[in-house]
Amino acid sequence: MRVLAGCAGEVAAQDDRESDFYAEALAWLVARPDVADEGIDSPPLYIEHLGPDGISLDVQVDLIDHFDGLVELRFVDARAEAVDESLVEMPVRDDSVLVGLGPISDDQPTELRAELYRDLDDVTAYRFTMRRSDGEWTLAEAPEVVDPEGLVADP
Amino acid sequence: MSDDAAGHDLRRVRFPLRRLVASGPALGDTNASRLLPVLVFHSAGETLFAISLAGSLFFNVSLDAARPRILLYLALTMAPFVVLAPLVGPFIDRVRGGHRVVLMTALGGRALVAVLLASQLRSLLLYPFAFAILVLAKIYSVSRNSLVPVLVDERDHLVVVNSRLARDGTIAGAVTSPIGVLILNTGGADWVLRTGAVLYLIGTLLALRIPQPQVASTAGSVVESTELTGPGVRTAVAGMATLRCAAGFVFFHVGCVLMQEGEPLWVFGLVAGAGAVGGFVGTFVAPWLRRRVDEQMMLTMALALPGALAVVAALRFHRISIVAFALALGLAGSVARRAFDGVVQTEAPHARRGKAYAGLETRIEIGWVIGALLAVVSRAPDGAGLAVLAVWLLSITGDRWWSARAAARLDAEVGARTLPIRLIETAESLAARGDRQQAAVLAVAAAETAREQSDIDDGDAEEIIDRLRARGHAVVDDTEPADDRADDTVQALSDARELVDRYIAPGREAPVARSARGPTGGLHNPPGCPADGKGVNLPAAAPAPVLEPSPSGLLARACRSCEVTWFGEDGDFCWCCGEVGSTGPLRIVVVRR
Repeated sequence: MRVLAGCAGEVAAQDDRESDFYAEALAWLVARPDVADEGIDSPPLYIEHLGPDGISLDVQVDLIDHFDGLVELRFVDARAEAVDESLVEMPVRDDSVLVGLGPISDDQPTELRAELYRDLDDVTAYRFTMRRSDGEWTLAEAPEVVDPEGLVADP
Repeated sequence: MSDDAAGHDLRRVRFPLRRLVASGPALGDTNASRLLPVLVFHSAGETLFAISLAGSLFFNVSLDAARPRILLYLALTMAPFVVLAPLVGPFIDRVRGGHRVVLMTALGGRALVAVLLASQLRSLLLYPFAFAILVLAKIYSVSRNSLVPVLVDERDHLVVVNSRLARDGTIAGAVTSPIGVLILNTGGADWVLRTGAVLYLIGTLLALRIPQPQVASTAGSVVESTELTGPGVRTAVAGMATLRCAAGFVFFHVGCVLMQEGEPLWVFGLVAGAGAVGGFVGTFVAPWLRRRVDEQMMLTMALALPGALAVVAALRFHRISIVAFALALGLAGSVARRAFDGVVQTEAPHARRGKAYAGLETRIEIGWVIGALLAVVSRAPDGAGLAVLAVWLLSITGDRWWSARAAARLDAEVGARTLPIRLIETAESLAARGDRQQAAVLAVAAAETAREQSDIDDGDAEEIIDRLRARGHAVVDDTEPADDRADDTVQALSDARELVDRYIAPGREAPVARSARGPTGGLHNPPGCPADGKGVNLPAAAPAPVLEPSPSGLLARACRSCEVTWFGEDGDFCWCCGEVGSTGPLRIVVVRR
């Protein structure tokens, strides 16, 4: 039982860390004027994980709760859920934005890649570096613009 | 506006509601009328619950992440069925007011969970609460469908009452939908759900007005269980369960695919609405169809329609094809329900107990859960999932159609000539199950029919029939000693069998005589017969099979090994070869080879 409780605790701690990281990155992205409009009718912000494992349900729910009232987040399993593939430019549905969130590195300093996709010609990628202060994870510095890798068209 | 005018307008507004909850026979059936407002408020609450999900986490989280949790709770949905549903029927039958308690528990439970869920629509507690509502919906469905047949004053009203209930329920849902959308846009999903809880609560209180149905006596249960396990009812249950399974599969499969394709919420609403419209149209189509084909054929057609539309949707998965498919499935479900009610009404006329119905309804609802589980587990791509569904539905349709044709051909071949045999075998079956009175009456009928159908001039016959009639009277006379009536039953059956065999099936070994050698379940089981029955008075050689399955024949059991039939209970050993292999009750007609 103790082992099970230990495992559950570890998973919860890992989820909390992921939630904090992604919340920080998303908050920075959402604050950009061209990413999300406030208002009831604003389209949802689509989120896709760029790693192989996906984002756990608990983390998804944490993030949805975190941004409740600010922007509606919609997590997708496949790009087709967010992107209109019937058009050549493959834009995101409802003129919205698809955010790709990469896995969180275990190295120091801890890094996270996030990409913004509007259509095939409009993809921007950032590398976020996080640090822990006062028990909370925060951005160590302004995110660095890097080459997109995850949300680019297949060669 | 004057007070009088205002009062008049108010009365006009209140009138429909008063009429709805009034105790008058709105359905032409006093007892069942009390159920109508309960169902109307439940349907309205159900609609609001569905609308509230639009503002829940369901459409925000990714399907792959949510899948394990959906799977877990769907699997848990099965548990109450296995544990609780079998208790619902006996509870309705044995506890005074039990039917109300079950219905009120389901409705009141939904009201309570809806209130709890209202504040958890954006948290992970959404899943347990939503599936709790689903479980309560299924229990409500089982109890409601079990209650209607025991509430209707006239058995012939069952189909009409159920049609009317379904129609009014759909109208209530349609009227509530725009109100729900309005509340969603102004107050939010939580208030939609709270409003739904109020409607469930009103339904709960209205359920108090449902009268106590007349509980059938225990003596009738033998005939009732015989009728409800008959092939007609069993085939109808299988057809209904198949359709419910398809509905469960489609609910989750199409829902998942629409999510994966990024379809907006209004498309989900359109598909759900199409299903409801289909159900509504079905209540009008069913009577029209019934005038042209029998109920089993209606069920077959109800399986064929969504099967055919599933082919179209599988080949071209598109909003229009999915809406058409949902419409067809709703229509098919509605037609099948009317057909099922019709089958129960005609083939199980003595079925009046909640227990019997709860068993059938439970099997049907478990079909829904299994279909839903298959959809979530299989993760089939859009077209592939529907293609498999189409193949499944169409192959069952084909099988039913061919079986019906074969049965019709057999009936045409043997025709009315087998009526006396069918009557006497029914009499023997009823006697074996303890219903001596009906057995004696049927035995007399069998002998008289045999005599009328025969060209043989036999002076003995009239004497035997007169004797039989006297025995029949003695058996139904409650003032006679029980032992005498038992002896009279056995003798009446023996005499009737002798006449039937003389006129209709000369040279054929009488089933009574064969049953007498049977280890269990026959008319004359040897006292102290060992449980396994092996080696007990077995004949030297198994006789040639003389019985053929047919949907319009009689009840019996058939051995898988030697194909002989006899009257007995589930798990009986074959009286002929001693093997455990009965296939359960079969409806059979006798044909000589």
